[in-house]
Parts: sequence; structure tokens; C-alpha cells
Amino acid sequence: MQPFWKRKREPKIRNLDKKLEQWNGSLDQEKVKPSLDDNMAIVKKLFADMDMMRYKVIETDGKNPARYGIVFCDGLVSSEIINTHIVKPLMLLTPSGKGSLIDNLLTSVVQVGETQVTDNFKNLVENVTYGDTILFADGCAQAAILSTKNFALRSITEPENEKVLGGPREGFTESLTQNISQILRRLRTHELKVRKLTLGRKTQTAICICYIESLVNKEVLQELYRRIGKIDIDGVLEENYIAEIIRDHPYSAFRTTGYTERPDVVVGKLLEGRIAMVVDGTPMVATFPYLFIENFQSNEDYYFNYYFTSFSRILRMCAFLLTVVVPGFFIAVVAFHQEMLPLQLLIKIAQERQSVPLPAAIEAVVMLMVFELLRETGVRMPSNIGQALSIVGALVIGQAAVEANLVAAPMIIVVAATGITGLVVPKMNAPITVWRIIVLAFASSFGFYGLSVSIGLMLIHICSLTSFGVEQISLKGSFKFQAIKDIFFRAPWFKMVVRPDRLTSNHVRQSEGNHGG
Amino acid sequence: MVGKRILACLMCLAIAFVLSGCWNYRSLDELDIVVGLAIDYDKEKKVFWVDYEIADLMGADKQSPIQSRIVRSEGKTIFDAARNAKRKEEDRLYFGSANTVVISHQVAKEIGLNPVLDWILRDAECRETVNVVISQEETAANLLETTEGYKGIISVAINQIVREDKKVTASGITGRCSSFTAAFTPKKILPWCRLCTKKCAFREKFRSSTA
Repeated sequence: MQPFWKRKREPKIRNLDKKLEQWNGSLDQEKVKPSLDDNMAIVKKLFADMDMMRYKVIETDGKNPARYGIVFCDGLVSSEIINTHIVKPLMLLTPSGKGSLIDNLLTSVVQVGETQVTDNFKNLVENVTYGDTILFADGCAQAAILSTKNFALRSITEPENEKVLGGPREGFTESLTQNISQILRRLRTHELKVRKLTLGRKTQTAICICYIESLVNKEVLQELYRRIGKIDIDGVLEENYIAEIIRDHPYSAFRTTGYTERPDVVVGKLLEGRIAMVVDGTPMVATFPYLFIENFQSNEDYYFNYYFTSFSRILRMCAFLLTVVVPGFFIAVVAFHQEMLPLQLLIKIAQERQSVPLPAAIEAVVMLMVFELLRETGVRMPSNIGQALSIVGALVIGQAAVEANLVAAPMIIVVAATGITGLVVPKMNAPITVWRIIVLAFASSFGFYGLSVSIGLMLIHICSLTSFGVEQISLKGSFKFQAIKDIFFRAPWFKMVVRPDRLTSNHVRQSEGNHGG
Repeated sequence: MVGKRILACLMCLAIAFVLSGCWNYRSLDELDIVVGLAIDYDKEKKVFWVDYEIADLMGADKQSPIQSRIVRSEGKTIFDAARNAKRKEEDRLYFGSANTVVISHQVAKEIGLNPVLDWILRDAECRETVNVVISQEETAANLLETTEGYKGIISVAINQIVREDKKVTASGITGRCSSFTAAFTPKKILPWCRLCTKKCAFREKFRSSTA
């Protein structure tokens, strides 16, 4: 008998898709009938028990008596457009022209800009649930979809979780069109391509893939389409639904796809040859491919003086290393390598540790959990009881626990340093949480040996990451200025003459030497 | 079966963590931090008396400077004495941070520094950079028991005095253990061995040269 880890699992028969096709097919193959009454009956049957739907039949007499039916969903439509630009002309005007009845209606009667003719009920359902109005005409086996969308949207505000000191303050909203418009406004070129897709069997979420044609890496683009094409999911509510399915290294804690809420960031990334994915219903825009250094880059880096922003970027990198390493390092020193501490510091720490009940390693885990709990509470709790949290956090845990000798004061300092530095790079919260625990476990089992082994493991893992086939960290060993100009520091703009070579083959960004007057 | 494979790996790893028993883990609260040593010799009983100045972590409150207490032990060698001292203490002695070794002038004159320096150099924890001080008092321990005019750990003060003296007055020559050893070890012996066959020409040569 084979050992259990060599046995092959029998491939599951995926009959889900077939069932789905059968189910969808019934709607897909349902065609618009010539009779208005039949059509209205079908729509009413489809939307039975859905009380938001409005049905109206309009009859005109005179020279050419005709009957029209309109269907729309209350709450998503502009009643002004429907009343004055659809219902009123239908009642007063008679269609003229050479085409079919429905075409004539669109060309000579209805006063709506965005229209579409279809005979497919699936198409009708998708659009009427998104605020459009269906127009049936008696005797015509086609229906028109009239754009009457009007729903309440959040206004454009500054993103709460990507604060900056300076630079553009606009952020994306939940509306796809508004988001696209913010990108378009910043990129007035025909080379900007916006491809629209629909994902989600139930949600039918619109998704836009944006890229600049002359800059984008075609292989990455093909790969993206291929991976998106394989998705079969019932709903897409957020960019992460898709990003998590299509990303490289799906089990890695590190990000291999980017996200942002800022249009200026998206345009900056498009200009470096990346691809943006805007998803309807969320202000988060995904960007691909994602390089490791993007974790530490901020849009402000490019808006402020480069000395200051280079310093800030190095701070961010140090913060990441610190927040992962510090708890493990502290435990390794305190529990294994006391020789590393100078005498005075050793005595101080030893004095604090004298009457503390728990071993240092367990104390570190407990205190880290307490910090994470406080952080999570801060995010989840209703905002008007914030004071209670700060009192409990600062007084009870910070002061009382130390005074009661339950926790050593140096541990509080270590946990505080860990926690604060962990908040500097919010995009890395997942790898930080995971690797901090791994490093801590290794270091508290094997001391500095374990510490270096675990950090080595982490570095090897980071170096092995790719994003859509692009290495997250380039190991080619090139230390030419243009290769590292935007890694550990941000070179002045007049020196950034080429684009990152891993992302695009169209390198030249600006003509060289156009600085200093 | 990927899931089970991962599970198996995780279980192996988990065992590794438990079986390792936290190798070399020594909790700070189970250590007695020895800051300085004083070494005397009892001529009648032919034993060394070693006094350990240990940072007294329990006694002091957090505001005042940390006091020290002294533990004394005897033994035929320094190493023996150090082992005996452990029996008197609940925690084990930790020599990694010791910075002063006081040797009484009797030991220095009559026995020589070799047994002391030898122990310092061979001990796994003791550093070669400790200050070696010869006491002019009756016993070396007297120096560590000084209470006049100084609060806190005496060994730290001695260390400070020795270090500052070199910079400020240069009235004496200061030396750390390693330089002492270099200066006071008369013969430098390099231990070595070599595997030889019976007919090894080198062996014959070696014999003739030593004979």
C-alpha cells in the first residue's frame, strides 16, 4: 500500500459548470416575443416577489395606434428622464424611419443618449437591475435598453487609510464610472486602454482593465486575461476577491498584487507599465505586477523633496525589519545570549524579570496578542467609546500590569516598539503578523541561531516571489544607478530617465539632462 | 494529498520544537549575575577562598542604585571553588558579565597569577577582558566589602576607576586579563599532537630532538 502522502486524490467531477449552463441557458435562450403582453408576462414572472420593479404600458391612438411597455427598477433610475424623455415622447410622437419599430423609436422618439437593442432576456435582466429601463414595443421581437441610471453615490473624498501630507487629495469611490473618469482625466492619451469585463454569476460586477498600450508588457496582460477568464464565482464585492484568485504564490503572506485608493497612484503605476483593475463597487483598485519595493513606496515620495522622502522610505524598510525581528531578537538575547548585553543593561533587565511569573518567550506572545487585540478593537469598536479603550489599554495594561509585576517593563517597551513599527507599512500587515510569530518561535527555541535561520527563510521566500511572472526582487545583481534609483532612495526626478526595466520594454521616460536650467 | 503532506511536515516540525526542550534556554531570573571576584588563599588549609560579588536584584527598589551581596566559597582550585559556590545559591552563577577580578597580594606573591588567569581563560563564560586588580588590603575580599563612601556595586566602581585612571592620571599600568597572561606566563606552550605510524621518520627525529 502506498503511503498516504503519495496517494493521488481522485479528480472531482466538476459538474457545477454544466448545471450552471443549464440554469443560465434557460434565461439565455429566452428571446423577446413579438407580443407585448407575452413579454410583460415573462418579465413579471422573472421578477415575481420583487416589489421594486415598475411596469407601465403606454397606448397611443391616432394614425398609428401602438402599445409600448416600459420596465424599470425603482430606486436606481432617474424618474425625470423616464417621465419627460421616455414616457412623454412615446405618448406624443409617432416613430418614423425605415428600420424596425424599435430602431425607429430610438432614432426618432426616445430622448436618451445611451441605448442598446437586444432580443435576449439575460441581457435585459442584467441591465434593468443596474438602473436601465427596458422598452418593449408591441409587434416587435426586440427590446431596447435605455440608460436611466441614477443612484446615490458617495462623493469623492480623501481616502482614510492612505493619508498623505501633500499631493492630490482625491480618492476613488464605489462607482466604476467615476473611478475611470478620475484616471482618464489624468491621462489624456489615446494610448490609455480601458477594457470592460463582467465577473460574478449573481453580482455581474463590471471590471475595467486599464493599461497604456505602448508601455504595457503584453505577456503580463495576456496572462492576466487568461487568469481572469478562468474565474467562475458567484459574486465579486471587492478587488481582493479577484486578486486573491489570480495572484502568484496564493499561499504566501506577502502581497503579489497591489492595491490603492488613489487615482494619482494608479496613473503613476500605469506610466511605469503596470496594469490597473478597477472593480465596480469598491474604491480599491488593484495593480499588477507588484514588485516587493512597492510595499515601501508611497505616492508622497515623488511629491516631496527627495532627501526627505528617501529618508522616510529607509525608515519604512527599517520599520518592517524591526517589527518582524525585535520580539525574537529580544527573547534570544534575554534567554540565550546574555553576553550580548552590557552589564548595566543586563542588571536592569534582570531586575525587572526577577518577580515576573511567565518565561520571557510566553510573555512576549501574550503581550503581542494583547497589543493585537487592542489594535483590532480600535478598528472594530464604535468610534464614540474610544476613550474606554485608551484607558484600558494605557492604564490597565501599560501601568498596572507592570506595577503588579505581572509583566516586565522591558517587554512592554519591546511590544510597543514592535506594534508601532508594524503600523508604518500597513500594506504588509499580513506578512508581518505571520513572520513575526515564526521568527519569535525560532528565536525562543534556538536563540540567535534560530533567529538567523528564520530571517534567512524569510529572505529566501521573498526572493522567490513573483507577480505575474515578474520577479518581485531582481537578483540580477545590477547596481547601475538607473536600476536602483527608486529602491532604497528616490532619485531626483531629473535623474529618473528610464522606467523600471522589469515592467516594460519601453524604457525612456524623459530626455536626459533636462535639469538645472 | 497535499494537505496531509503539509500536515505531516507540520507535525514533524512541532515535535522538533518540543523535543529541543528550548536548548540552552536560561531564563534571566534564574541567573546570579557575578560582577566581580576576589581571590584569597588560605595557607593552612591550602584552599582558595573566592568571594563573588553578585548583583542583588531582589533587594533594591527601582529608584536607588543596585546593591550587591557577597557569596564566599572555598575550593582546592578556583574552578572547585566556583562549583562549591553553586551549592550555596539557588540560582546558578553567571560569569559572562564579570568585569573585575581582585587578587590578594599574598596570592600574587606566593602562588602566582597563573592558577587564576588560567581559570579565567579556560572558563567558558568568563571574559578575557576582565580587569585584574591586585589588592593591597589584608585580603582581597576586604576590597569588595568596602562600604565607605560608595553605594552600589564595588566591582563596577573598581572597573571604572581602573579605566579612568589610565586616561586621567596614567599613574599605573592597567591591564586586562589577556595582557596579564601574555606578560606573566613564563613559558608559552602550544599544545599539539600528531598521529604517527611506527616507521614515521618524523617520530624518530622528534625523539632524538627531545632526548
